[in-house]
Amino acid sequence: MHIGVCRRAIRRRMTSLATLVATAAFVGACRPPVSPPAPPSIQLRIVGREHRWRFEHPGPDGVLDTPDDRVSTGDLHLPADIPVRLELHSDDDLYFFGIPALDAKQIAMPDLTYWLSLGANPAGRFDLLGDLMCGGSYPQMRGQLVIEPWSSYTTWLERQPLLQANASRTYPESQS
Amino acid sequence: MNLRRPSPIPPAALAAAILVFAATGGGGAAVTPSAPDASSDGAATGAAPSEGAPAPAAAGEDAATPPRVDMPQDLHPYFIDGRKQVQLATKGSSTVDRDFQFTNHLADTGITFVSHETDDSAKTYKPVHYDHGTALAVADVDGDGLTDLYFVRQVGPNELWRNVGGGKFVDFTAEAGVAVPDKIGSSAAFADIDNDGDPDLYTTSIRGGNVLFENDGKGHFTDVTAASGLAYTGHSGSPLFFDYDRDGRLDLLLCNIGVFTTDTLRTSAVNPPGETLAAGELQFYDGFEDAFGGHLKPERTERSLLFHNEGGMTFADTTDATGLVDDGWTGDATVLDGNEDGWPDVYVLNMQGNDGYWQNDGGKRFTNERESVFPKTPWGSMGVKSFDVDNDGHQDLYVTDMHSDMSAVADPLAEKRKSAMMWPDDYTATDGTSIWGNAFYHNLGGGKFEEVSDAIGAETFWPWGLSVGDLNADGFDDAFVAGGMGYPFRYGVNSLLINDGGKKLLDSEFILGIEPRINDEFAGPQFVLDCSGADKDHSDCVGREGKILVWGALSSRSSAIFDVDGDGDLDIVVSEINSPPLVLESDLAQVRPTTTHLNVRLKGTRSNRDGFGSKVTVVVGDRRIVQVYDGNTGYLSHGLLPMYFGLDGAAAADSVEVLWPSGETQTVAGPLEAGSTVAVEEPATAN
Repeated sequence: MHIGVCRRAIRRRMTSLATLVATAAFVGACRPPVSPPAPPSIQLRIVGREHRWRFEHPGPDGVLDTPDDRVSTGDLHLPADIPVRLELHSDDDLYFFGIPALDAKQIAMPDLTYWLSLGANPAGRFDLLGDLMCGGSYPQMRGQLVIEPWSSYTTWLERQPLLQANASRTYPESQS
Repeated sequence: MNLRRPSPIPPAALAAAILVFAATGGGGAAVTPSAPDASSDGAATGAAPSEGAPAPAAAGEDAATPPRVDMPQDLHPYFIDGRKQVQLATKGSSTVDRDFQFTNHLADTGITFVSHETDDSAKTYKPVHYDHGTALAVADVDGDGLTDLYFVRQVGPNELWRNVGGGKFVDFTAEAGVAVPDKIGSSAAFADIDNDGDPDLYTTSIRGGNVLFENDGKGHFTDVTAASGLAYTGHSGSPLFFDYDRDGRLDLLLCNIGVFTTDTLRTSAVNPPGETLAAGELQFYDGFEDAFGGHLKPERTERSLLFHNEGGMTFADTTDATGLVDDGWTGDATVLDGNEDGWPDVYVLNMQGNDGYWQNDGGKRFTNERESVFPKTPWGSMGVKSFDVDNDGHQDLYVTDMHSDMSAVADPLAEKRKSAMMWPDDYTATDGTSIWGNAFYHNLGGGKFEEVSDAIGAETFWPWGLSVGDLNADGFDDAFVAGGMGYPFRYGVNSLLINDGGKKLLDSEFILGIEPRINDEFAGPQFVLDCSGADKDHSDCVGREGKILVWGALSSRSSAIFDVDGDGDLDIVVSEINSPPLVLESDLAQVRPTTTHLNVRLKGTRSNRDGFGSKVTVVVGDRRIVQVYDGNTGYLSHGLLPMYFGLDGAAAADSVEVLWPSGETQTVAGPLEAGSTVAVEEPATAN
């Protein structure tokens, strides 16, 4: 092969490779981050404190009580179509937690652990109830349950702060 | 920050406000705000400033009464007029006599007692059992034939008011020596423990120790606790005296609630008026924030105790020996011979779970037969009374349920329904064996009961104690059910249920003037807050500055039914929370002079001197009017009262039959003139 032809061929190939790399990089930059696959189920922790709820979510590792845990307040976000198990605690008072639309309710009490299984539910928004048991009404304990597709949930979760900064959690083993 | 933490309170301002309140008989009209722009806050009807608007500051540090702030915002219940009209419209549905009225005559009685609960039930409110209030016990302590009143207080001394006749009372506390000023009071019972013919007194408290007093017959009491064996210290509720082994001496079931307090002592911010303690001297144990989950924590169980009367004012603990081991959260209990074998059984309330029904086996052993006899019981049982609603000779059982009514916000127009229980099964923890409201067990005989609360009309809302008595003197016992939660909740009515021939309990509180409360007074002063100072973080201070006087809904706890003014009809004395009592006097004897009744006083000889456990039947023609004398006067309360039998207009009774606890049957032949008192003394030897 003539040496000139060979150089052109090499240049073409390099140009194609650069284009390929550039294209791949462009496509990669424009696509949303790939979510970790949805787990078969998920477990969250809900903690009552000073008449508010704190929601503790497992991070990408899917396991609670690890450094990537996230924390949220206000509305509760959950993934759709995945069985969810809620672990309820209280740091002070005795609280009621309920989702009437799902016929789900439980208490949160200091020193004890209670569980609430929600099963797998389709996406939707539902009323979230909370109150001091036998006590007055605390509107800040009420909000919305937002059940959304897994990808939306993980996107929302990434925006929530890490829990580890102010985590001081020592909860007992399951009581029920 | 927790907004409900304690902080110092201006005691002079609170005392002034409460004293004015007491002096006006609970009326709000005299507590007019001193600040010129606060007049709209002080309307007696309960008008309140708009939510979020800053309340006007007090005129200055020396202002006698800070401006009133209602919590919740509008304490005039919007539903009250509608409910009144609905009930009045039902009056014609029955011919039972409801053509008379009750009126609060507190101001005429001379009684100045004002109930004070701990701060956990007021300024630093939390859902803890302190808000169950205190007892009202009654007895003729000095032997003058008139029934005296003993009010129990949480903060400050208890008070004994001696009946001097004509509906008048004088403070007899100091002379009697029964103030118990240094304890957080709970309950009290009068009973003749040593069978010497006068009522002795046992008072209970929350972790202050219980006290047994011996009466000298003239109303002077001596503390004999130390040698009595009854010096229990815990979270005690009602003391129930009865003779479980029928040996002629009254034994004691001491109802203990459960451990609802922490070990942290707090100084009361309330300055009780007119007592010997310096302001802030009295301390109380801080309640658990999760007290109403106490039944889920076995370590908080506080067992009720059975004591056998050994004579000589001494008792021995026989709880384990008899097997009456009840671990429920128990404020009260009642005696009931459910299987009619002559041995007194005991129905023990549980305010957070299943009740207990302890059948008495020959005075030696007790067995809990609740599952077989009462397969479902109210979940949050608070008050109880055994009585014969239809005069069939079988004792029925009425149980009120307060705590089920805390699970959901009830429509005020639908309070005759059972609770729409919202709490999860893990919390109620009774495996489907609960009734979410009051129960009325109709005794079918043969030890069998049928629950008929809805059919007979026994459901009420936010009920505490109940008392029974024949308020219209027609020969059937009626019921008064104390109700309401008080601060920081909305107003809840008291209930008056008139017995329609044993078939139905008719709602009658509006018809007979119990509700609306006199002058539409639904609220009273609770405490003072300094919203610019120490209390600025209190939730009631949001959007407010300066000192405010927080008003809350009035609410009742216990009651006693007896003839307060001696006019021949039955009146109702009601113990309130954080406010003066009610003395609801009936005008039945005035509006219907043909009303007739018979009083019966018992004197046991082989049986206990008080005759507790006696079944008394008054025979009038072909009617038999049946009562069992048990000393139960209301929630937390026991005492000694003459038995009152309405004769439904008859001029005389034909006879009185008494079945004594000893088994002796005695008949007093008539005619027994209406209006008289029949004294029945048990024969000293068996017939």
